Amino acid sequence: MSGHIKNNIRTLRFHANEMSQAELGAKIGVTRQTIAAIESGKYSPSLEAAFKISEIFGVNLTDVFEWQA
Amino acid sequence: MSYKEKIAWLYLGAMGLCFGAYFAYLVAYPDFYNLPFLQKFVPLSIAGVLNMVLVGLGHLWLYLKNDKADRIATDERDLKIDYSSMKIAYQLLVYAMLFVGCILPFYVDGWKIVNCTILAVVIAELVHGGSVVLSYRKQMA
Repeated sequence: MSGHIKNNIRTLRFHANEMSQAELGAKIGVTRQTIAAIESGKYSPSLEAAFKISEIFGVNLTDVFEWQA
Repeated sequence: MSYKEKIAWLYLGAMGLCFGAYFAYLVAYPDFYNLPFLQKFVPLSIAGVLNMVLVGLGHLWLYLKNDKADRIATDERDLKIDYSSMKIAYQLLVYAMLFVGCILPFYVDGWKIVNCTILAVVIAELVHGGSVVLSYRKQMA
């Protein structure tokens, strides 16, 4: 089954007082470049990092990442 | 450019420069193979020590030049990039070592085998470094 993971991190950052990529990265222990790679869909984060991101924004995992077939 | 990418460029550049110069020397001076045994170690030692010095100074320079915030510990993407690059380099090294160890001894001997072994290791390292840099450039993992 082919498809890709879409994410809403950019939107969620905007709603979180325009949180920067560096700030988000620092909160989950990754670099700003890794956040940029996740946002652009070039890197799929580990499940642990994905849960941390959703926890920081106070939303469910499926509100951050969704599978698009 | 992330701190890890700068470090990857440093390793790649230092290795390419020092051992590139070593192999250029071997090509330019074929008399190398007629030197006394111990003297043959001199160019290799110079290349090795120079490589270590360049990497050490480069690390120091990058450490001083970058903020603490940039020098964040290795994250999961860095590890993934390093792992996939290492896998490619390791495969290459295995095939190169099979060639050097199983085929070359029937055709050449002594220092030519030594230099081919060093060349294989250097190429594997360059492929590793190149793959790491390329992955960072393309934001891949």
